[in-house]
Amino acid sequence: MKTTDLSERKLGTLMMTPTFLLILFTAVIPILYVLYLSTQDIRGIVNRGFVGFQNYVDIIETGRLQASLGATMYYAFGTIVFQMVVGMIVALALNVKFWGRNAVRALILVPWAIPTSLVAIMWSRFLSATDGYFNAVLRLLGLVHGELNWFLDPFLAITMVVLVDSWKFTPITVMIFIAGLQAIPVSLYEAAVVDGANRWQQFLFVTLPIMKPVILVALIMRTIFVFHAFDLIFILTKGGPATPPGSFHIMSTKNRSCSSDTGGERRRRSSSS
Amino acid sequence: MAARELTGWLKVVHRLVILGVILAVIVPFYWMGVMSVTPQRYVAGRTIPTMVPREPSLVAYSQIFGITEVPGATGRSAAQMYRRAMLNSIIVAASATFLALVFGTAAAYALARLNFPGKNAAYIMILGSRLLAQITLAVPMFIIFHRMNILDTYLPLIIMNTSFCMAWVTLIMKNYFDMIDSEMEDAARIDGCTRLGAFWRVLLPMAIPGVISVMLISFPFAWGEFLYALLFTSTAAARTMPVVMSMFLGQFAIEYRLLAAGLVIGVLPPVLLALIFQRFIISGLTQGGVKG
Repeated sequence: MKTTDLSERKLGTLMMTPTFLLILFTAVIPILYVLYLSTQDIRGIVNRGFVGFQNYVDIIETGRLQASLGATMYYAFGTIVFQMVVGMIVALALNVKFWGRNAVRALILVPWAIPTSLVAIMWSRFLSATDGYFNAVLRLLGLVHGELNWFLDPFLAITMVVLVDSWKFTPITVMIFIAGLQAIPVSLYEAAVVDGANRWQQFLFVTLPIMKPVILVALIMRTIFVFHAFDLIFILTKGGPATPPGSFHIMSTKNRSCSSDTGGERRRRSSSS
Repeated sequence: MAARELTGWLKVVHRLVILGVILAVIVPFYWMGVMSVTPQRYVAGRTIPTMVPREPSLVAYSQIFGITEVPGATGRSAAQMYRRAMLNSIIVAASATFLALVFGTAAAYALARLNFPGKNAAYIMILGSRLLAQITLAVPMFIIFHRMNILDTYLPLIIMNTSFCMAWVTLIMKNYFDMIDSEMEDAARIDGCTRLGAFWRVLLPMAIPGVISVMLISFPFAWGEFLYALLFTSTAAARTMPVVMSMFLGQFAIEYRLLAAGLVIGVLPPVLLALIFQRFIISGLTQGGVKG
C-alpha cells in the first residue's frame, strides 16, 4: 500500500510549487525589478543607465515626497485613532445584552462587505459639492450654506477620506474587539464590583489590561493596511485637485503617468509597509 | 460585563450609540435606493436632493439589464458597458477565487502537515508578499504584462487577484489545519489511504468552514479590485465593474439613477454573501487578520 504513496518531501514540494511560482512571479521578481528601475535614469523609453541614488535625491528635492508623506501621516493617524476609539465604543455597546443585538451585529458587517472601490464611488456621489446628500443634511441642519467642496482643501479632503475609510473599516475593529470582550470571564467584573469599582474603573482596570493583546492585533492590522489604501483616495479625490491630497501611492501613479521619470518614485518600498 | 443590565443615563447613552450605528449603516443605503428609483430632476443640481422617492420606478434597473432602452447615446453605451463589465467582473472574480482556493489550500496543507525543503522560506515569502502594497507591484507588473502582450485581457487581472487572494488563503487555511488534530488522518492512512487521499477525504471535509471563510474574503476582494483593473485594461473588453462605475462618476449625460442602480446591483453579491455566511466571516477575520 505505502509504496504507491508519494514521499512527504515530494508531495510537499509538489503542492507548494504553484503557489511558490505565482508569488515569485507576482511579488518577488517585480520588487527586485522595481529596485533595479529605481537606480536607472529612464526618460520616456530611453534608459540612460545607472545613476545610483540620484532618483531618490531628486524626489526628496522636489518636496512632493514630503508633502505626500504629510498627507499620508494625517490619513493614517486619523483612520487608526478613529477606528480604534469608535470601534471600542461600538464593541462595548454591542457586548451589552439588548433586544435586536444579533441583528445589529450582522448589520455592521455590511459596510465591510462592500468592496472599497464601490464604497468610494457611492460616497463620492453623496459628498458632491452641489447635489450630494451629505451636504444636503448639513444644509438642513444649518451647518453649511451654499456650496462646500470638501475636496478643494487638502485638510478637509483627507478628513473626508478618513471618515469614509472609517465607515468601511471600523466594522473590522468592532468585530475583533467583540471577540476579545466575549473572552473576558464575568468573575473578574464581580470581583471588581466587590472591591467597589465603578463602571469606568472596571473598564480601565479590568477590560483594558485584558484586551491589550487584542487591541495590539487590531492596531497592527489597521496600521499595515492603512498604508495600502489606494482606490478610496483615488476615486474620492481623483488624486487631489491641486495635488497636495493623495497619499504616497497616489503620488506614485501620478508620477508614472504624467512625468517621464519612471525611476524617481520607486522609493516608497523602503519607508512604508 | 455581558450579563449586567445598564441603568440610568448609561442606558440612554447606550441606546443612542446603537441608534447611531444603525443610522450610519442604513442611511447611505437608503439614499442610494432613493437615488436609483427617482428621476434625475429631483436629485441632480438640487441643493437638497429629495430624501423620499418621488415618482418611483424601477426603470433604471431594467435599463441597466437591457430590458428597457436608455434614452440618449451616452446612456445607451453606458448601460452596454456596464453589462459587459459585470460579465468581466464575474469571470475575473470567479476564476481568481477558484484558483486561489485550489493553490492556497494545497500550499496550506503542505505547510501545515508536510516537511519539505525550503518550507520556512516559502512561508516567509508568502507572508511577506501580503505586506506589499498593490501599488508597489503596479509598475513592474505593467511592464511584464506588456512584454507578455496580455494587457487588456482577463489574464493579468486573474493572475494578480489570484496571487493576492492565494496568500490569504494559504495563511488562514494553514492556521485552520494547524488547529485540526492530525489523528484522524493518521487513522485513515493506517487504513490504507494515501497522504493525498487523507487530505482530500478526511482533512478537507473537516475544514469546510475555513474554506468558506477564505472564499468569502477572496471573492469580494477580486470583485471590487480597482487599481490593477484600472491600470491593466484600456478597453471595455476586460474592464471590470468598479472601473466602469468610477468612469460614470463625472459624466452628467448618465442619469444618477442609472449610476445608483448599477451600484446597488454591484454591491449586492458581496453583501448577500456576507449576511448569509456571517459566522464564517467573523471566525476567518479574527483568525487570519485580514482586511477586506
